[in-house]
Amino acid sequence: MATNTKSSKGLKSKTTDQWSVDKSVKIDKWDGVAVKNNLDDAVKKVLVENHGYTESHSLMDGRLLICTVSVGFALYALLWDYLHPFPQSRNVLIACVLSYFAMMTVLWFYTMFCERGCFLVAHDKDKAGIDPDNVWRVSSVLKRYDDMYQLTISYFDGVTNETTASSISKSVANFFDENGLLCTDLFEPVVEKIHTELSTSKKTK
Amino acid sequence: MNTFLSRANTIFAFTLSVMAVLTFGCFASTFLNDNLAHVNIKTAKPIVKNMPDYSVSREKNDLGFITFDLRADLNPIFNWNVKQLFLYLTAEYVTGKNVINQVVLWDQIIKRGDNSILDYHGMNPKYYFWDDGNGLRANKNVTLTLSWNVIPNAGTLPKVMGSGSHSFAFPESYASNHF
Amino acid sequence: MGFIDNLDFLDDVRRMNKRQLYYQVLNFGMIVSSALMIWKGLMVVTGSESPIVVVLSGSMEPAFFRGDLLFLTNYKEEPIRVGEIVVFKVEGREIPIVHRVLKVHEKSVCFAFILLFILGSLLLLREDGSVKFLTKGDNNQVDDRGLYAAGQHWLQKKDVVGRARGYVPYVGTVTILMNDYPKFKYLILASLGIFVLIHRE
Repeated sequence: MATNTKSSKGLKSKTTDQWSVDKSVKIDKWDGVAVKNNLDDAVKKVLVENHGYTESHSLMDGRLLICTVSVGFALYALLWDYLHPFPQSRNVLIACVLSYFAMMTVLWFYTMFCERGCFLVAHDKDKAGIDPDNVWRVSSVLKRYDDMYQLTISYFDGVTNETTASSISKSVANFFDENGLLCTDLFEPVVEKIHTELSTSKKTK
Repeated sequence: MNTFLSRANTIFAFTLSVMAVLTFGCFASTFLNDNLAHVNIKTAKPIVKNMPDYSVSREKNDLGFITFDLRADLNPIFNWNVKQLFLYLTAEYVTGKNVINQVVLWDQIIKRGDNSILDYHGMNPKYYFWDDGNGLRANKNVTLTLSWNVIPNAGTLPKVMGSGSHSFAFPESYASNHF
Repeated sequence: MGFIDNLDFLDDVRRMNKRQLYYQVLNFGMIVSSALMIWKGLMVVTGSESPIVVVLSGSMEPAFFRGDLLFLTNYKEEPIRVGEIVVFKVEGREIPIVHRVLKVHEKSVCFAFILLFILGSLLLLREDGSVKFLTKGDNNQVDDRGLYAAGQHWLQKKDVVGRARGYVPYVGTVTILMNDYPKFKYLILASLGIFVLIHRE
């Protein structure tokens, strides 16, 4: 469950500096989840702010919808059971419990097959507005008690309908200093490198 | 895994899961036991009186008196997942008023390690044998059985009736209320 | 903003957008919902309004001690017989009692049918009226008539919350602690809730 979308739009970071990612966020470098979130946010910043791509929230919105509906079933069951004590509420409870666990299954499939660890979907809009968008999908893996951060960026070309992907695997020790501060000047070039690699490969074709 | 708390937390969580698995194993290992045993029951001196049970009402109900002998070897029932047996001697009979009457006359707890070979003679019941009405006098068929409820260390709570029962009849007339 | 900046532990929350904030709340809701739905599901499967209970008194010692956990079922078609451990409610007492059945008297079916004709559908709602039983705690000297409501000599099926089917020792000890020290309960619940809410996952 490491999919987080975070929008730190360029115009926003100008006014509220403390909300942006690079503003010296100190994290506990032994906390894997925090390290991963921090790196993910930095990747997002590169693509969304530096390259001006538009972040698409549809993946996150789908997850939010599934969760909201499931919690809704639970709340309904709770309310109904309160108004009509147990033996009478049996059928409603059965319906709610089954729906809830069905929604949990849906959520599981959604995580496994739709999100697949993807934390950013960014659209590169055609300037002329004629061609379909190019889509960047970014996912990452940082295993528990492991220092290898595996970053995968896939690029979907709207014109040729081709998808290319590239990934790197590097120790997080390369990107953080001793105090747990992310060294943007070390990390951003790595992301940029993949980005150029993918965007030039399309042009050579 | 760098702070004391996170290490303590991991150890605690692991301990809990190991204990849960062991507990489940404890339950599973004895789940299929039938916990059966044979019991010899005999009764003597059945008397029936008619008097009010003031803890319920002023109405006169039948009150039975018997003494009983009990022989059983319950040792085979005990295993590592039996904490105790709760034994109870049940009198079951039919009256005009009720199709099923069950009255516990005597019970005993045998913990693991206690003597589990029963050999009693001329025992008096522990509880009064009150009928719900007047169905004991001339009742031809009162059946005594010994059952036990197995209390495990963790697991199901089976209720088992020992094989071997004893039936007796109450006399045709009430005994005097005075001793 | 000055003093907020010093609250390091809120950093995660401060860096969230509104989708993430909502997801944090939802995530908390999902944890509570999952527990709730498992409980309600157990209710439906076991037929008991309270499928798991913690033993709160020592009246069934040495079988059950304070803090032990019992799994209950309450299938209406299963007859109640002596020796069974039932959990029942008594009018005027909030906490259900776990005791053993000592005596059972079940009215004949034909008698119940006569009543059925007389009372019509009224009896359909309370068809358990034909069984009455008396209970006693293993560790008590006397039967439970003193615990029942005034004038009540017998229990009926409608009083039963469930019958003990499974037993696990000690697991309910935390519940006992929480019951004895309500402040401790609120402290634990509040800190767990806050942790889930502010901890970005």
